[in-house]
Amino acid sequence: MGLFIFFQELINLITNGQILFLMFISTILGIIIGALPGLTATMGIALLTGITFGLPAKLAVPILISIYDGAIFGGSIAAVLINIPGTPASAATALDGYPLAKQGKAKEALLITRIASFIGSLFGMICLLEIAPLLSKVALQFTSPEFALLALFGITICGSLTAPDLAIKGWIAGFLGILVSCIGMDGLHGFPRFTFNIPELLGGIAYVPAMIGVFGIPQVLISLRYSTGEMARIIEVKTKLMNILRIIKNHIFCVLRSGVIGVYVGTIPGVGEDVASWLSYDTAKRSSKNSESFGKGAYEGIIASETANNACIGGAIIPLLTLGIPGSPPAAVLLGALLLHGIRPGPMLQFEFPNFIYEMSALLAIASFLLLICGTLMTSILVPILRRTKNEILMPIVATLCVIGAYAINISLFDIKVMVILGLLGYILVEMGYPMAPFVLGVILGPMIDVNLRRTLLTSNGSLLPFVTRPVSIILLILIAFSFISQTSWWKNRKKKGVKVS
Amino acid sequence: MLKKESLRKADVISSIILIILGIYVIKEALKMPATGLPGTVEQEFYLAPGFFPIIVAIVLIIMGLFLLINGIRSGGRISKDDLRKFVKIFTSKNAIRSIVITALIIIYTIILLGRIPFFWATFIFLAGSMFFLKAGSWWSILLISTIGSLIIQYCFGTLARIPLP
Amino acid sequence: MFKKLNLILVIISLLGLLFLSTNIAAEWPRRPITIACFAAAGGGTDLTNRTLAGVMEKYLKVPINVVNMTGAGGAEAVNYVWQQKHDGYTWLGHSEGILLMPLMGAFPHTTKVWESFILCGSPELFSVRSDSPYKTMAEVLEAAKTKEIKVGASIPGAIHHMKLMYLVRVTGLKFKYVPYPGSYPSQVACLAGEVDAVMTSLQEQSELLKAGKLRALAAIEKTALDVPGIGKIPSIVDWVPQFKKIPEIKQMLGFSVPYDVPADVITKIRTAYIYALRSEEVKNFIDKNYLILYGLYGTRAKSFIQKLESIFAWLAWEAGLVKESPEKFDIPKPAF
Repeated sequence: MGLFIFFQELINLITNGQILFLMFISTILGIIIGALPGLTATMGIALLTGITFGLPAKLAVPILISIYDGAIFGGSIAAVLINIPGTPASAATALDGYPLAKQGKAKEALLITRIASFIGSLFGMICLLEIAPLLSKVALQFTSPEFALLALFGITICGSLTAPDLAIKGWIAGFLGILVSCIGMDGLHGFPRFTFNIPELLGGIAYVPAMIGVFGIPQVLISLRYSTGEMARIIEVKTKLMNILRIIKNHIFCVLRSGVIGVYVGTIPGVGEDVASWLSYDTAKRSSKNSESFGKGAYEGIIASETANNACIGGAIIPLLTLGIPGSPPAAVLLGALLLHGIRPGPMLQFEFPNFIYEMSALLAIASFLLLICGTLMTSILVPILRRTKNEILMPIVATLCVIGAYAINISLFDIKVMVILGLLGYILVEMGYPMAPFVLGVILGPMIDVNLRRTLLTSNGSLLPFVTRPVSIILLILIAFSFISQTSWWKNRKKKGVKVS
Repeated sequence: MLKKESLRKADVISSIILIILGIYVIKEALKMPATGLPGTVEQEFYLAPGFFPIIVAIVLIIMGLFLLINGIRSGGRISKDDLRKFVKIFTSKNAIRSIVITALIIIYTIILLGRIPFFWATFIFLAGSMFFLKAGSWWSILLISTIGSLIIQYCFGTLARIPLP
Repeated sequence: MFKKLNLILVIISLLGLLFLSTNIAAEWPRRPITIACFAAAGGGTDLTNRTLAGVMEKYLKVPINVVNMTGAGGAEAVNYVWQQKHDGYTWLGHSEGILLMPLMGAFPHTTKVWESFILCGSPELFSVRSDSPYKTMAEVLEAAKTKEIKVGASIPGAIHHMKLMYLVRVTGLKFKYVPYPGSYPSQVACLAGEVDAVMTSLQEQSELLKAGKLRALAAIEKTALDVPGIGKIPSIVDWVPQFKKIPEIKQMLGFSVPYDVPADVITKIRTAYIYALRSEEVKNFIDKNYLILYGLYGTRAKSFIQKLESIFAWLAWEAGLVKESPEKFDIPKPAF
């Protein structure tokens, strides 16, 4: 029955030229928004909510869904081509995508991210369509201790995954990020911490300028250190679609697992595409036969992170439509947009708009197909342009985009200064072998650890017991402990010996 | 990234800075009031605003110590010779490119933006940096900077309706 | 030859820009208006301002853009609007959240410097999970005498927290305030059983109430509510009669412009606002989102805000939530 309505909605949408055309344009726009450093999916949806206000919901919702899906994929273009993740969700993609681009496989890598994003979006859509009520319960399993541990887990695995030198430096970068996130009014008292009497610091360091700063500025400075003449020209390898499909087929298990992780993380309120892609990347690396190739251009790496972050979209929409709780930051803006158009997501939605969940699934399905088409269009334009442009021209423009991106999210000149200062600090840290991705994740998730840790203690009157008595939190606790132990020399030696014996 | 040998030396320096930072954070966090939540009576140490920064600082200090010990063990001692090498890092031809670009970014973001219209600030930065980098002939630089600033101004200011500085 | 042509092109484009950047001022409004909204996209403040902007731009015949400036806890938007030319082209979209800003040292002036337009607000509800042992507010109030009742509400200083503090102050009961980053997370926590009760607005709770996942025990308002699809919700006055006599805290959503914007511009904004008040769009927005229409402007808006400011300021000051005394800003002490 449900499937029937879904296909009915799907046919309705496909035969409606106006909607299809709008979605096409919006997907392209979404990809551009995602690809520009600093313009995130959240920002894109917020921008378009304002612009589409005058349109009826029938047109506005498809536009916003296309923007959401496009932007999450778009981030991978910047990550692969210039090593600056366009959105926090694509930071894990840069780890293997950029090395691939350096080997002349940029087109190949982008074809893979496209297909992975496509499968991810479809997977999320199927979960939304088929098991939404079941998954909506996940959102309620997470209370303060689980949120604190999940955030900590995200930062620790990101730290050990990205450290080019010593794993401990990744964790240090993560904790430095958490420390930066402590700046501003604290979430429990509203007490100003480390604000040095600067009123602009009261609201804390916004994570978008921080992200652009530490990814963008070091990349600009490093690329410009040597003039283009001194660098070897990259010759693009010819891509064969069949080869790529074979790669995807060989890693089909990885694709499915990443989809599951993406949807699951998506349903957890407050954590979104960024955490999903890191968790998925980590799982892929741990279970892969050739885990050494990760970080040097492993196809599995980009498949894992891109499938997960697009699958997360469907996941994030599940609690939004069933409980009225947005599962990710972009979904929170989507909630506002829906409210603005008189649609109130929540448990009553199935009575008031019985077809809405099917319509949403159909939109997501179309958006993911459009993603494939528009993505091909965009990459075939962007890759040659970026390849032919000299760094001396490209990088100053990237720098201005970083500046405007940092400014645009809050219309704040102060944020530009934050971006530059953190960027220069980031440059020094990158030179000393500290990865920046855990730093950014620390800035994003720091308040979540802080407030949820103290709230747990508040509700339990100071007892740490909730961390070990609740099932989800004890699993997370074990995973965190394992991610620390597995990086110690003791564990690594043991593993090596084990290999030798067998 | 630096070479492995220099990395261990850098680790020694960064770990010391880290430990000092940790101590500073703890010192500042201890000054924060240990009051209960506004409007309630609880006064527990674990609710204080300074509680979490102190934990983070302790973790950072511990990790800093690990890094310090590891650095010293791996031969990361700092000698007079390193000082000379350190100065050299900043005076090589390639380093000067980075430093000038850094300076240009700082001039653009901290001095120009907010004082002169966005278009002109961006134009000056783009043209200035491309001239310094010898990106092409002077007219192509002027053309690219003009078009670049115009497109950014149009896309963000007009299409996305963001009030630019 | 080719080079010269390029040179000419460059000069022409540069000159063209010079003309573009000069603006000819005449009758207001000649160019788009910007509403700097101090809260994030998708929240009540944002939705109210986007709805108003959508209707008012039809009347004023220039686009009205809503941008979200959430920096410094919203203070950045307030300072931004204040620092722009006071010419009526930049408005501040805000809620009651601006009331405490001077006391926190985030903005140097009290609400006296604003000409405000307060459209609406949503009533506050005290609710529990559907399987909670508490069936009525009386049971909760009775239990709170001996037991600790955990109440989830959004960040300190926000309307829901202020309402809770007011409730604690008036009743003297032990409610344990558990802060959340926003209304939606606090509702999730209540559903997940982390807190015993939750305080958010009807606008935010309506769908959970209709689905029977939450049960509203009382409206923390002076009058009872009758909500279509949900039913009657009694007022807190039924159990705590003191609430009848003391001044009320209410949510307020709307926008403001600096008071010294030229008088003719303010008059025009007013007519556009009144046009919006009568429009179908605003009426639908209010109904669909379970809001209460205030429709205030001019002196009535002013006295409404100043009354609210004095309770907010003194309540926060007593609780140690702000660092500056309300006396310093000549905010009179309310009779509460």
